[in-house]
Amino acid sequence: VRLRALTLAAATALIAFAFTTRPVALGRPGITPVPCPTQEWQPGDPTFDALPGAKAFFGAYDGGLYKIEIPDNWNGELALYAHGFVSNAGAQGSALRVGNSPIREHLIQEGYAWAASSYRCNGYVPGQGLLDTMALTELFTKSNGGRAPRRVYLTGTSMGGHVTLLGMHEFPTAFAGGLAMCPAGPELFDFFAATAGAAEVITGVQARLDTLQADVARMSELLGKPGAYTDKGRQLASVEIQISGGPRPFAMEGLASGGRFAGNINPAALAGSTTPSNRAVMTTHIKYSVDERLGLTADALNKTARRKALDPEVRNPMGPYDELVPFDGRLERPTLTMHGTGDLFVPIVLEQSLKRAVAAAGKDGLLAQRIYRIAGHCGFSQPEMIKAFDDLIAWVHKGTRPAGDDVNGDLSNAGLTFTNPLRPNDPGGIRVAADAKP
Amino acid sequence: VTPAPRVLLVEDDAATREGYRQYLTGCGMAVTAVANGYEALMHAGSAAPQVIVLDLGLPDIDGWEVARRLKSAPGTAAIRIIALTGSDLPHERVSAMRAGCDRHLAKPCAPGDLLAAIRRCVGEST
Repeated sequence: VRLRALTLAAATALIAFAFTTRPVALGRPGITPVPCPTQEWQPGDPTFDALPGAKAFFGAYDGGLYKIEIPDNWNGELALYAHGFVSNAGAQGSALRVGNSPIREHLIQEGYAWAASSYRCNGYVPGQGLLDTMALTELFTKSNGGRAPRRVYLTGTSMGGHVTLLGMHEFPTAFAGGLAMCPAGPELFDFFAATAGAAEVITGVQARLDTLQADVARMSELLGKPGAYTDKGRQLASVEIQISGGPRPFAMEGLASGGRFAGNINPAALAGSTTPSNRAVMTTHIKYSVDERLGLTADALNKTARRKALDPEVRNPMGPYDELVPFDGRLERPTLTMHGTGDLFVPIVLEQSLKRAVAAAGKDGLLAQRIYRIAGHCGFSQPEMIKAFDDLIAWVHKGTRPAGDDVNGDLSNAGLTFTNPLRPNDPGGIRVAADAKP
Repeated sequence: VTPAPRVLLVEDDAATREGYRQYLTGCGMAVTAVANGYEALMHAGSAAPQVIVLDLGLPDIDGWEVARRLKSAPGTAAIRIIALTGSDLPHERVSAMRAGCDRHLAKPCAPGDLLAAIRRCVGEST
């Protein structure tokens, strides 16, 4: 009788399994994040007031500081928000800060809860950011009287966009969908190093690790700055535009935004820096291009620019740090990205790389990419972000892939479909004019 | 003849434990099934499993602690651990990962998925 009972129990269990099969979710081993910078972190003040019709929760946890906001008419879904890069240098470099979702009002109004983390440290730390953001679902459930979210979305801006794409790749079934706004990615530092390689050729100044800052300052003197470029400066401006995605609306304004023209010159990896992210840098694959009417040929650049090969001990699919390895494109859930044409900090060339990886993995149907005609980094309007979020939700709920742009096409007039509203002076500077005067 | 992969199954729910045990045994695995964290630690040292399927919600020593102890002991650190968690929420994956688990599966987990995960772990460990 006992044997029969056991057999019955086993059969019952097996039948239960058979009817509860979910899509294959063989959890990957997880990630090993690049360690935090070694310094003492100072938690700031996470307090905030809830919007009308919502409740606010905040405090400190193992991942830094957190904010959670839950509408009274909660619809059972949670949008995690991952913030962008916060420098760990300077007077505020050790201060941990937690912000709001950039579409907070819309989320609350529509019944979505949101949660955000400061992360446990500052710096370029997408791996740490991902794990600390994922940990928020436990805090959320506790704050929400034990009610867990039915669906969790991962959203983020800039480095937080890298967090989002990293999460959608490394934990491919953990989130119902991902919205990566102006997402950075592992190849961002290739772009900075490649810019530095071109700057060395153009200025004749070769950077050394022990004189790095002075070398970059010397280059800047020779190049001028936006609005006051020298001939050499125009050459480098053209190179930056070309290797970041090619001529496109607001590219020139993007170089002038936030000091990116000179800020993109980062020769640390070329000069032999041994930080993990610099060791991972690769510029051997960069094919330089330039408007040759400016007095410099692409051939000369490609022959003489200093290159750096990747360090296989660091940039390796087997680790040690997943966030340093270009995405393999193996998405399992809907992912929507947003990128500005005039983003010369985290340029649209990263979207092109992402698209190629996703296509190679046969996952095109899970990626939609949208282009916006704006200068600078992450300057999306509320209507643009809200529309993207709502379209992602509809994609997850109804299975209909929303429209996107072809990021690998000609970008010289890209972004008309989703830009809302068109910005003043649209289409803005597209390329460096040979006869442009400072 | 390839020896049967050695699996230690740690699950406090008797019906689930027996269901998995029967299924995995039928698939050619050498399965030892135990019901709590204490037994898991005892058998991990003596039975030399290649893979441990570990329910994290155990009643005595919880699965996170079991994983941490196994991964910090030289004799058991190399054993692959598949965590079984009660939900598929993101924090469950992170907590399992931080405890040292090599893979994560959320309940309810189809036996075929568990089998595939075990085979992948065996492949990684050989």
